[in-house]
Amino acid sequence: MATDRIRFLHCADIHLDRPFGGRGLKDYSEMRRTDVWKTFESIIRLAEDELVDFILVCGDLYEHDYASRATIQRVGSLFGRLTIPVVVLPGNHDPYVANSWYKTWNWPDNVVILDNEKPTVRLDALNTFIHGEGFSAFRQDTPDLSTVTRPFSDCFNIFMLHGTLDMNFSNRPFNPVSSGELADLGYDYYALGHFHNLKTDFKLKNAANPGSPEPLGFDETGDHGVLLVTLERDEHGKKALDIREINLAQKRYVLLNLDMAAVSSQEEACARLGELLCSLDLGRDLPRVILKGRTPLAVDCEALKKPWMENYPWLQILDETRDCYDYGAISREENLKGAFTREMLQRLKDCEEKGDEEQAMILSAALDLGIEALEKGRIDARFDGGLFKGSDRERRLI
Amino acid sequence: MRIRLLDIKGFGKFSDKHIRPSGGFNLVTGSNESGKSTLVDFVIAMLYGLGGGKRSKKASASHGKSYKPWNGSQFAGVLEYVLDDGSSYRVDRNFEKGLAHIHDGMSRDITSSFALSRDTGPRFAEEHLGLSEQVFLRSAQIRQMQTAMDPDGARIIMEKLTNLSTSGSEDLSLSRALEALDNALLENVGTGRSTTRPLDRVEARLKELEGIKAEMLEQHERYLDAWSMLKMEEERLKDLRQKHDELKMRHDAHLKNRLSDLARECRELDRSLEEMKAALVHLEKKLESSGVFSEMTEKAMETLNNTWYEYKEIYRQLEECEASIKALEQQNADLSLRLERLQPVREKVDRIDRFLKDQEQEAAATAYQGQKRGGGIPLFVPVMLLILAIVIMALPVFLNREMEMPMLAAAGVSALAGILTALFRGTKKKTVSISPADSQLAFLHEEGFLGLNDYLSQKEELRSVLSGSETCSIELAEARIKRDYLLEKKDALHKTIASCLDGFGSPSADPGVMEGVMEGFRAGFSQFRENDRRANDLRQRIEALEEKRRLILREASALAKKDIITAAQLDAAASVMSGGSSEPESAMGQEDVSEHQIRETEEEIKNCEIRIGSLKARLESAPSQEDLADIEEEVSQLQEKKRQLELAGRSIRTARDVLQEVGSRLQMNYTALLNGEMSRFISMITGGRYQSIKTDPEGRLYLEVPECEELVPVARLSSGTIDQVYLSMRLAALALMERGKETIPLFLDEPFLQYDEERTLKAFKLLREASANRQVFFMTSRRREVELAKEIWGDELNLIEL
Repeated sequence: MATDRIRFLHCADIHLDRPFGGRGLKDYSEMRRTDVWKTFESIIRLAEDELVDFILVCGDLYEHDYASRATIQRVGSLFGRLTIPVVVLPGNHDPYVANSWYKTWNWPDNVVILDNEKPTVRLDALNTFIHGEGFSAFRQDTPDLSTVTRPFSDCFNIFMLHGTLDMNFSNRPFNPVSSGELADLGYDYYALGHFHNLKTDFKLKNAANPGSPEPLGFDETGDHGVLLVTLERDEHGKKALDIREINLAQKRYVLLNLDMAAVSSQEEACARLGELLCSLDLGRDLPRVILKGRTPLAVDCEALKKPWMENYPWLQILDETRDCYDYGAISREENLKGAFTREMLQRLKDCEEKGDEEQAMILSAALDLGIEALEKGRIDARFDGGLFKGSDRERRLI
Repeated sequence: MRIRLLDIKGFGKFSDKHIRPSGGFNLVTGSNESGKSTLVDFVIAMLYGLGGGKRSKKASASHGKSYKPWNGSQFAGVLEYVLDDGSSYRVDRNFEKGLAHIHDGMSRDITSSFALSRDTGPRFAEEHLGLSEQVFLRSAQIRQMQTAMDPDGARIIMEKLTNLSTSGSEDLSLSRALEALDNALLENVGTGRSTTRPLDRVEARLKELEGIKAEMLEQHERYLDAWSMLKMEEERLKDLRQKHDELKMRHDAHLKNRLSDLARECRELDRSLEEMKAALVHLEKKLESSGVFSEMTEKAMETLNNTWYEYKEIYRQLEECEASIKALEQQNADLSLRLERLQPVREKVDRIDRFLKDQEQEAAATAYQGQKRGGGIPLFVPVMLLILAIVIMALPVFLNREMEMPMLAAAGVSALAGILTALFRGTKKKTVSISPADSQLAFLHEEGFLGLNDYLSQKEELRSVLSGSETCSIELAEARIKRDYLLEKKDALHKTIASCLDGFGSPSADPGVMEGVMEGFRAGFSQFRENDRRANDLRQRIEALEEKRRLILREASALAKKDIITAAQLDAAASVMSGGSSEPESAMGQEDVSEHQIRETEEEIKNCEIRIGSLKARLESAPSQEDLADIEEEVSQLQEKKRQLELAGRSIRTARDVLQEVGSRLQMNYTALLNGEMSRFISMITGGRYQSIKTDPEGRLYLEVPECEELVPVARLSSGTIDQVYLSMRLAALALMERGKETIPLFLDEPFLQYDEERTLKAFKLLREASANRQVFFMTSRRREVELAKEIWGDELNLIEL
C-alpha cells in the first residue's frame, strides 16, 4: 500500500562557516559562527524528535570559500547520525563545482546530493519523487524548466529550487523563476531557498522559502528557522499541504530608531535608549539602534551604549543625525542660500515620496554642506565614517 | 546708509576737515588737487579700512602711506552714518595704529560684535552695507576716468547679485562656496584624479586586501582542488589495485601453467637425453671396437680407393703385357722359323740386290732422270719419325717419370711410320732402279726365280718376314720394358695398399682376394663413419637438448624466482605456484599477462600512492580560514567606509551641482533684471538712442545699436558711451542689490568728463532720480556741471566746496 503521508523538514541558506565580518569584533564573529552551528544541530535534533521522513536542504548549506574540512566532517557526521534521507541541493554559495566538498567528500549513504547531472531522486519507501534545480557554478542563468521531469501521479512530488521566485529585484537574479512557470510543472510542493527571510505568501500557494535558520544580518530581522512540511493524500487521491514554521534561531537581529530631534542631552538620549532596549530579549536579540533626526547635539555613541553593554554586549549604535539648521527660515531668504535650500528641500521631499532613502540621506547631507559652504566659504564639517557632520557640534557637546 | 559726518583728523591733504553731507545729492566741487578723490578714498578707508593684506588693492605700504597727512598731523578720522532703519553709528579709525572703533547711537563700543579682519579690523561695513569692499568699489563708486569696468569687475557684480545676502559680514560668493565644496571633496573624500585622499587610501587598501583575499581564496581553491585530486587518486588507486590483483592472478595462473608445461617438457627432455646417452654409449663402444678406422680419414679412404683402382689397372695392364709378350715371343719364334726357311731366298735376294745395285750404279749416270723420279719420299721423313720415336721413349727418362702407355704407343707409332716410309722409299727406288729388265730377268732366272713376279713375291715375303721379325723384336723389347715397369708399379701400389690395410687383413697380391679385402675394408670404414656420424649427431642432439633443458630451467627459475636445476625442483615449484593444486589453472579466454604489465601497474600504484601521500601532506596544512575571516572583516569594514566615503562624495557633488544650478538660475534671473535696469538707464542718458544692454554670464556687456542688428560689445563704442553704459550698470546693480536691503551711498568722481552737454544733463536727471532715496557724492571741477546740477536740484543741492 502506497504511503499517503510524508513529513519532512525544509531548510535552506544555513551558510555554515560564514565569516560574519564587518564589525571589527572577532568575538562577535566567532559567536555568530557558533550560533549557526547550534542552529544546524537544532535542525538535526528536530528531525529526530519529530520523526520526519527526510530533510531537504535547499542550497547554501555551507560557504564554499570558507568551509574547512573539519566543517564538512562535522556536517557529514551529523547527517550520518540520522537514519532518514537528507536531500541536499547545492546553492550559489556551495555550488556543485569540480572541487566542491559535495564531490570530494565521502558523504554518508543517507545523504543525496542533487546536481545537474543527477537532479532527481526517488525515495521509493516514502513514495516520494524529488527534483532539484541547484547551482553547478557560482553564477548561472535562468534554469531550464523544460527538462524537468514530469511529476508522478502516484508519488508525492517535490521540486527543490535555490533561486528567486517572483522576486527579480536585482539586475542578475539567481535562478529567477515565476510562480506561473513553477505551477505549470505540477509538483505538489516547491521547496525554495536563497532568500534569507521566511516567505510563504507566494502567488504559488504550495511554494515556501524558509529563509536562513539563523539570521545572518540586520536585513534579516525577526524570527528564523525551518519549515516542517506535511503532505497528505486522502482516499480520493487529493493531496493536502501543511506548512509549520519552527523557530530555531539562536539570535534575532533587531533594528531600532531613536529620534534625537527631541533629545536635548546625552543623558536624555541614554534614557531614551534604555526605554527602547527594555523590550528586548536579553541574550537573544542583537540590537542596532540608529540615531535619527536633526539635532545640535553631538552624541558620543560609545558613551551612549556603555551603560547597556553588560546586557547587550553586541549593541550597535549608528549615528545618522544631521545638523539642525533652521531650513524653514533659510528657505524663505531671497538669496542664493534661500534658493539653494528651497531647491534641496524640494528634492528631498521628492525623494522621500519615492522612498529612496539613500538619495534622501545624500540630499540631506548635501543641504548641510551647501549651506556651510555658502555661509563660511569653507567646509569645517568632520567626516568620521558617516556622512559629514558639522564640526560645531563637537563644541556643543553636552 | 547715509553719511552724517566726515571728520577728517588727518588724511592726505586734509586735516581737521569737517563735512556734514546732506542725505541726498552732494555736489563736491573744487579745482584740480583740491582733494575730491581723496575725500572718496577717505570714506572708503573709513568703511573698509586701509588694509595691509595681500588681497587688498590698498595693501601696498606706499598706498597706505600716500594718505598720510602731509602736515604730519594725526592720521585718523571719524565717520558717522545712519542706516535705513534709523540706527546710527560712529566709526573712529586711527590709520597710523590700525585701530578702529565702532560705537552705536548710544555711544557703546560695539566693535567686538563684528567679525574681525586681521588686515582691516572690524568688518562692520560688510555687515551694514551687505557689500564687500570689492563690490562696493565696483558699484557704489566711480573713480575719475574709471567708470568702465573690466570683465572681472562685471563678474563680481554679477556674483554679488547672485549671492544677494545682507545677513553678515562674510564675503559671500558662489565661487567660494563651490571652491569650498571642491576642497572638501578633495580633502575628505578624493576625486577621480587624486591619489592620496581618504577614498584613494581606502580603495588602495581595499585593492591590496582584495588581492590578499583573492590569493587566500585561491589557496583555499587549491586546497579544495587537492581534495578533489585526492579523491580521484584514491579512486584511481583502488582501480589500479584491483587491476593489479587481476593481472597478478592471471599472471600466476599463466605462470603456473607455464611452469607445469616447462616441467613436463623438462621431464620429456630428460627421458630423451637418457635414451640418447645410452645410444651414444653403444655407438662409442662400437667405434672403439673398430679402431682401425679411427685414424682413417675420408681423404685417406679416397686415396686408398684410388690406389686400389690404380693397382687393379696396373694388374690388368701387366696381365695384358704378359700376354702380349707371350704372343710376341710366339710370333718372333714363328718369324725366326720362317726366316730360317727363307734363308736361301734371302741369300738370293741379297745377291740380286747387289746385282741390282751394281746395275743401278751403272745406270745412275744414264738414268739420272729416272732416279730422280723414283725419289718421291725424302729421306729425312723416316729419319725424323724414328728420331721422334726415340725422343718419346727417352722423354720419361728426362722427365723422371715412368713410361706410360699412351707415350709408349706414340713411340711405337712413330717408329712404325719411320720404318714404313723407309720401306716405301726403298720400294720406289727399286722400282726406279729396275730398268734393264732383261739383264735383271736373266739374273733372276739364274738365281732360280721363275720370273720377276716370283722374285718380287719371294722378296716381298722375305722382306715381310724380316720386317715382321724386326718389328716383333722391337715390340717384344718394348713389351718387356713395359712389363718391368708395370711390375714395379704394381709392387709399389700393393705395398701402399698393404700398409693401409695393415691390421685389417692380410693383403694378397691377388686382386681377386684383394678385392674381397678391400670390399670388407670399405664396408667397415663406411660403417665406422656412419657410426661416428651418428655418435656425433647424438652428441649434438644431446647438447641441444641439454641447452634446451638449461633454458627451461632458467626460465623456470626466473618464473619461480628461485634456482631450479632439476625437473623435480621444477615440479615442486609448479606445485607451489598453484597453491598445492596439481591441476592447471583455467586461463581460458584470458590473454597472457606479462610481468611488464604487472610492473607497470605496480609502478602506477606506487606513483599513485606517492601522489596521494603528497596530497595528504599538502592537505595537512590547510589554509587558515581565520586569516581569511580577518581579511574579510577588514574588507567589510573598508567597503563600508568606502561606501560612506562615496556617499559623502555624492553628497558633496550633489551640493556643488545643486548650488551651481541654483546659482546659475539666480544669476540668469538677476541678469535679466540687471539688463532691464541698465537698458532703462542708458536709454535715459542717451535720450533713447540705445535702449538695450545685455550681459553675458562672464560679465561682458553688449549694446543694441540702432544702426546694427547685432549686439555690439561695448568696447567698440565711443569712450563716452562706454562710460555711460557702465554708469548705467553700476546704478542698476546698486538698485538690485539694495532691494529690501540697505541703501548704498553713491560716490561719483568726475563721472561725466567724456559726456557731451546733452547727455550730461540727462545723466544728472538720472542721478536726481537715483538720489531720491540715496545719498550721492558727486565730485566735479567743471563749473558747467555745477550749473547744470543747480538747475536740476535747485535748493536741494548740497554744495560742498573744497
